[in-house]
Amino acid sequence: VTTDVRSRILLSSLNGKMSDALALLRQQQQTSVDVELLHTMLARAAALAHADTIAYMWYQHVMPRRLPVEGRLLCEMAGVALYQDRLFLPAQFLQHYQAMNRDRRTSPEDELIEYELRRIKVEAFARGTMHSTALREKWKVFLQEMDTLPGQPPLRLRDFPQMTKAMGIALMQQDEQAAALALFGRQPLVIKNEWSLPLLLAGVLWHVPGPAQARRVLAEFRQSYRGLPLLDAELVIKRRGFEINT
Amino acid sequence: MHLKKGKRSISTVWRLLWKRFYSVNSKTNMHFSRSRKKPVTNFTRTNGLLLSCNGDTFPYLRTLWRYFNAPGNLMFVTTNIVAFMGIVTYNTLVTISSERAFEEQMMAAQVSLAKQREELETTALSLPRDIELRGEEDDIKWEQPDVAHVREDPLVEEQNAKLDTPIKQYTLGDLILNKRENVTDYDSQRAKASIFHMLYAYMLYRDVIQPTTMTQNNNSEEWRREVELLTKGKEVQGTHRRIDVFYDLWNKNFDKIVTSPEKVQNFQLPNWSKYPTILKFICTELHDNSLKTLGEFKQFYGKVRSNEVKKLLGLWLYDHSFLFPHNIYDNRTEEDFYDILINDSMQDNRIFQKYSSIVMNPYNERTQLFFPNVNSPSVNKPVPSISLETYTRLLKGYINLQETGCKYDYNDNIFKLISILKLNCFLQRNKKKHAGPTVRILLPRDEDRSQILGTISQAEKRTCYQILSKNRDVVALLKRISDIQADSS
Repeated sequence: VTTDVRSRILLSSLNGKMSDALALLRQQQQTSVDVELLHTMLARAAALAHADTIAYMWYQHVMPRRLPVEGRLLCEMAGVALYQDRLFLPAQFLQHYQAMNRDRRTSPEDELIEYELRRIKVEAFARGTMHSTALREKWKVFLQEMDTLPGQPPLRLRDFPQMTKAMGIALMQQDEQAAALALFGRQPLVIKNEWSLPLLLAGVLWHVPGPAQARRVLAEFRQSYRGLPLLDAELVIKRRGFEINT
Repeated sequence: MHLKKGKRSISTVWRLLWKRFYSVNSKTNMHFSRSRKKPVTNFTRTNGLLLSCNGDTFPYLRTLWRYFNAPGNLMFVTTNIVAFMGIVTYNTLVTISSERAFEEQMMAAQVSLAKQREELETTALSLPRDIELRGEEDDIKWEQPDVAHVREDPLVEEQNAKLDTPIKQYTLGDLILNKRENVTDYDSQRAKASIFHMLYAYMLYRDVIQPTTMTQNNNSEEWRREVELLTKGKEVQGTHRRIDVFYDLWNKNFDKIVTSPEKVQNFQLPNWSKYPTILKFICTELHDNSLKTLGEFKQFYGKVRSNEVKKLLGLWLYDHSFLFPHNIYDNRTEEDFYDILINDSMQDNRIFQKYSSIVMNPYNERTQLFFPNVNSPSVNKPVPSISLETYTRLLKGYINLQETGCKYDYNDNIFKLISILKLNCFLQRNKKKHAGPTVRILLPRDEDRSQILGTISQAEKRTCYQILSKNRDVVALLKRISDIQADSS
């Protein structure tokens, strides 16, 4: 890349014309990307939600050559990828991040980034399989990623909008509803985080048709589990205007 | 009666006024003589204001008049009045002129506003008056304007360009281009940064701790000054020589310095022209080597002559082997490298034990890195295997340890090695025709062991044992073992 082309690409991406910058970059050779160009383009693409650039840079440069990318930037890129329907990317971001952090002592920030990347992966799966897979599958992915997080951070329903939406779609069907209730019973994996099951409960309560059904779900849940934090479930009951004592 | 009263009151008022203005009163003299000092007290009571004097003080104006009447005072007061009038006049003139200027500005502004408004109304935004009345109908008719169409309108374009946006538009002048740095993959760059940091720290540490010897005289002035800065004001004892202690400290405290992706990406070898000779050499090699695979690390290791550095690199590699990618089948050179490492660490108990654990413990993940795999159909996954030569070297190392270092007992390890040799050996057909089959030793994990070993036939085992019995190294080692047993019993 000549200096001229390089500064043109940088200028376009700084001025928000990501598609121009991407078009220019595509004309160049594979090995032409340097540190400055790569990180400027990734950061601007994440800021301007330009998913094409993110996907191109990822598949052509970052992933095959295992280039280091900051965790914060990965989180932003994952957020863009999730809502621009590049649903395979978040899982790869997470894998990349984990590969780079194999032996590092975890700082609080690392934990946050890990949480965020895993959350987006779960969300991306829920979004991608909104209508196609059963609730059980989404729950399994959720348990695999979120439940195994070290430190067991609180998991809240509000952080999983796509998953909640997918739950609603699944619960519309009668057999799925039964399956959701069955999830309270036996679990495919040993659940480590005390916030996981209450999140499922709150998600189901958010979509039940009326207070009678909600009471039944709550009773079912109580039969199996006690002493779990039901903050989200209470909030959902209040928001929906049911009069149930939790 | 009213009228009468009115007449009377008017005449009274008139008289009073007369008195006030001219201070002519038949009794004035008497008042004056009676209370000479009263005005002072009166003035103080009424805050010295003449206007707020009540009727009682009225006669004392006479005093004022007398005071005023004196020739010197008259001059003084007149001068004051004249000066005051001058100031007032000047002030008024200034105010008037500034007001006029302001008015002129206002006029000009109004004129220009009117002109602008006229322009706007005539050109771009001529909206019908009754727009509010037809609002809803308009909304229905209204369509999204075509973006391309808007672009074509030069007037709008021009106005659009004139408007400032809060988002900064960068131009070529704003751009400060840094030096071009090629992107490098995380693992190799981190390995370089880590090795450089470790060796730099070690060289400083060694020079600080050692008393000034002739080796230091070769060093540059800058390096010596850096060492002096560290030694200044501290008691430095010259007892070290434990490289593994240094390594442990460094690994614990400083290895994590260069792990964040940002730091790794921006890592650059500094200008090494002033460093000691060994460090200079290492920097050059690190710079030239891309250090992406274990093979490249082997090259780097092979070029190093210093024993200390070799030891450090050996210790480092054991802890950082994950930075190198695994080859699944073809890692013959890696096995050679393992052989070299074992050979080099023969003298150093600690490194030797670390590396031998790669063979002894099949769950050690470095096994996959160093040893070529044999695809075993019975478990359907690659199983690492080690050559007989390397294995005998390992055995020899343990026997050496048992013979020399009496601190620990290595009998268990030796016994385990021999039993592995006996159970896990198999024949590998050589691709070259002239050489016969060679013996290799499988290193399966516990869960796969019985399945894999079951596939080795008795005939194959027998051939293996025949080859083993002809191998001089093995036989010599076994003899040494039996001697040790005889000694200890």
